[in-house]
Amino acid sequence: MSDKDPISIQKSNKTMNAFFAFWKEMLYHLAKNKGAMIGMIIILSLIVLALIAPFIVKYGPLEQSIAQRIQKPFISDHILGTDDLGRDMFSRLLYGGRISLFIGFFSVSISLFIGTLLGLVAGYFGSWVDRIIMRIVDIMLAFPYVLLTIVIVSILGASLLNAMIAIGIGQIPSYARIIRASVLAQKEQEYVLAERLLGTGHLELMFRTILPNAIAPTIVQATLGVGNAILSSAGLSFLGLGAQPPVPEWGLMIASSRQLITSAWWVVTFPGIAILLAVLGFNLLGDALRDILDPQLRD
Amino acid sequence: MSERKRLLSVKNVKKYFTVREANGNTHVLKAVDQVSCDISMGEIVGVVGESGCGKSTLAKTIMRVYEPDEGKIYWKQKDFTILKGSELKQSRKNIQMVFQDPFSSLNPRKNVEAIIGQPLRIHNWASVQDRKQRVQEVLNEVGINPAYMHRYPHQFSGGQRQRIGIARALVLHPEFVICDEAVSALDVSIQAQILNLLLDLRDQYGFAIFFISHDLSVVEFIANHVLVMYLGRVVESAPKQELMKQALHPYSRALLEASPGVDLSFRKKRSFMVMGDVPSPVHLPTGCYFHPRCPLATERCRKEYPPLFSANNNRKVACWEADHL
Amino acid sequence: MSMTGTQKNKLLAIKDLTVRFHTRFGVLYAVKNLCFHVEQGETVALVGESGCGKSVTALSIIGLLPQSIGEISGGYIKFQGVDLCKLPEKEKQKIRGSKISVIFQDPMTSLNPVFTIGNQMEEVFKTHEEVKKREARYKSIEMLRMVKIPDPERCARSYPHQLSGGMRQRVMIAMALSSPEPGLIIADEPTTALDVTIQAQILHLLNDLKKRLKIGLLLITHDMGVVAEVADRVVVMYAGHKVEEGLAESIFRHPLHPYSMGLLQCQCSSAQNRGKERLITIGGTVPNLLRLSRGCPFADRCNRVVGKCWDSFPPQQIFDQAHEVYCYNPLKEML
Repeated sequence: MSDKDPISIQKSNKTMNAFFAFWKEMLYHLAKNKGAMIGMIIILSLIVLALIAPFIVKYGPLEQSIAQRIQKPFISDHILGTDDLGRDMFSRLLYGGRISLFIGFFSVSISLFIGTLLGLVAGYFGSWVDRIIMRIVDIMLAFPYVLLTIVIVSILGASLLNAMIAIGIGQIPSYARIIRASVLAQKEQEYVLAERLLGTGHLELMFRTILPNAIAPTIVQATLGVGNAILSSAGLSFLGLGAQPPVPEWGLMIASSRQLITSAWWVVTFPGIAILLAVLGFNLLGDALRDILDPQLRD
Repeated sequence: MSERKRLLSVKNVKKYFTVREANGNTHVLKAVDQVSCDISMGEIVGVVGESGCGKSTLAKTIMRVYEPDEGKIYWKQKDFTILKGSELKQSRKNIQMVFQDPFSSLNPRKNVEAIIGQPLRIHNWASVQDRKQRVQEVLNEVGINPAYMHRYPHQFSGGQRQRIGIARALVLHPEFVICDEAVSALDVSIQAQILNLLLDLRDQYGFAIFFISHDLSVVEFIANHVLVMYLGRVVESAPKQELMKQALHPYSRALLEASPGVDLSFRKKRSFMVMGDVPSPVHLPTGCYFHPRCPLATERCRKEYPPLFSANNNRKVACWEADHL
Repeated sequence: MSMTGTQKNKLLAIKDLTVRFHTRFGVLYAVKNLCFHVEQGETVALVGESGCGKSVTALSIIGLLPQSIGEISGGYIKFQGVDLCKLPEKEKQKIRGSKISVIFQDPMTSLNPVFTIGNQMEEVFKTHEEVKKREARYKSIEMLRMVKIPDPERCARSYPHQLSGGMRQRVMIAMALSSPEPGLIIADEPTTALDVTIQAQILHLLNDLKKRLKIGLLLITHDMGVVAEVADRVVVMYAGHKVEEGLAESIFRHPLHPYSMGLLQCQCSSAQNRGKERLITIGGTVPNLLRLSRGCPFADRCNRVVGKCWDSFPPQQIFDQAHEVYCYNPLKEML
């Protein structure tokens, strides 16, 4: 008997096929949607630039040079000009991109993880568990989001890390609600009853049976959430509650150069455009994913 | 005929639900009301009735999805209703269910091997290698190529998915299988294949089947014994041959006449057309539940609910006028 | 009732209808070269299992194919002599709902849950003719009475969720007949979601109304029992093709196509299965419409298959009494 029996060869082929088939399908749908394509291009560019930043910048993001202060963009050595401390804008923007992406993914991870756990437990068990969890979520929602994040940062202390935690916590309620609704819908499906009647325990039913089927709507929320987090972080930094100087966080860059808006517009405008593009990219992708995932579920 | 081992005994089971209307009124929904039946090894008991008759609720109560409000269920002479925890989990090896909708009864995110292997895994059956082999074995038995076990449910047709559902139910050699409208969602030609498959598997393994359907012709084909339910109660219980020869309860008669048949007696003159709609199970008629639609209804039928009389030949019927047919 | 009747008699005449769908896996033909007709006062049943194209045919007639992926790529659909495919959308809308009405399978989703029945029926009247509210109300009650709803006034005041499935289907039928000149009713699986004792009532109601109002009824179903109940003529479809057509009696007494025979035989209620241990079946499954071969689509499941079946789709053969079949090896011995 050969060491690779036909079934196992087929198995590796089949799982690979299933894997590729799923992504092929996703790509097909994404390709059809113009918004998705634009969003993907923006995000991919952002990620690529963030990754290769150290290799393509001439100057460090923190290198100050009084001699090079407020250089105009496009005409000098500094492609996008310099700020009032002589730091290269191009470099700061790229490094700022790394930070923004990190903010986005970190905060969303917090909210996704905790929110999903809460929503899953609430939706699955129902009755008093559901009521208590959802009341806590409602209380969180009662606070205006910005105020909530400000309060958390004030408690923890003003820093970029704490800003990310605050943003993450602030978004927990939306994920919790989305997952809970999705879980409630899936719970009614026959396959859940079928697996329950096989003798499956609660934990497995929650995480291995229901969750993989309930998670789809959160993908949309998470994608939009990244953009949202970048925006919130910029806001908090602008207020002095997030990143602290000299970190090249885009919001902070705008805040510290407010006064230059008429004299050296590029110092304020470029970070603003960067925020705009990043958030736009994630929003477009998120919207497209929402359109794609919905009819596909019906398929 | 040899005395077959009795597996399941349902005695006077009741399952009621409380329904709350928007205006605050509460009503009692008697989904299953005083139902008794027995099933022995290898036997097929068919339960037939229209919507609201309680057959699905009965199945779920037997499976302990719902707890009976009254009455007892005995599995091999032991009280099944008091089992809990790990004992209940153990019993799941012996009592399994096949569902109606082949599209929603399989987890879309699991492949066939995971779906069918799940009961093996949960009950720690043998070794991992043995489990894989058993999955392949049972797939062969239901007519699905084992090479497809890495595919996902959406890649199969409705009939194939139902076969997968049957494989999942049979993988641990249960002694009792409940089929809840297991062929109702399938095309007629596939229905025939699946019914034949169930019979073949029953002959091979010897399990008993509780076959629920709204289609009397299907039940009459596959079952040894038939229960006819109406609004939560059993109105007639008879061996298949007897019921086909003559239905005693007017509702059974009506079902028989209404079932569209394809043998040459089509466009048959209906001697027994029943009028009106099935009443809401929340607002049950007085007396016999069928009296508003029954052509034989008398004053007594309006006032008193008839008990299940035992007729000859292992038959029971709940009708004051049964002998007038 | 001969097939060669003049065009004027034919309420609906479909010839060589071909409907194509563009999917990401390729092009599939949901319906291929379909020809049949419905005359005034007739009930024609379009019968077949999933994927045979019967529902797509209904959608094509009323012009509701999903525009992005489906199209009628051949043939014509003539209603009262006018080719519907060539009409502009506005004209189609006028016909849809007034001269051709459709009754779908699930009455719950066809009725608006937030309006009363009376309200919805009055809307229908107001759309088709210029009537005052009082007259519309009166007509609605009359229509509800015509479909044998007990206490029509009470029904008109109720909301859809307060009615049973059978009652809702009756309301749908009433709405379908509410135009001043109903011509054709297309009923797509009208009784599949209903209990069996109600099914018979609804089918007979449809049939009676058809006779009384002298309209045509196109009944689409997968249930041969339903066909046996009310159809005058039957068209059997398989994988988008018509395989047999004839009077109901002819089809049931002596089916010519192996598929029609198989469909009849595999029913639990058929005479051939009485007392048997196992049902007669048609082996295999319906073919993938994306990968149809050249020949007869039924070849791989047919127990009478011959060499020619794999090469090309069989031509029409007509037997007596307008009984036609598309098969190289039909069950002639039955005649």
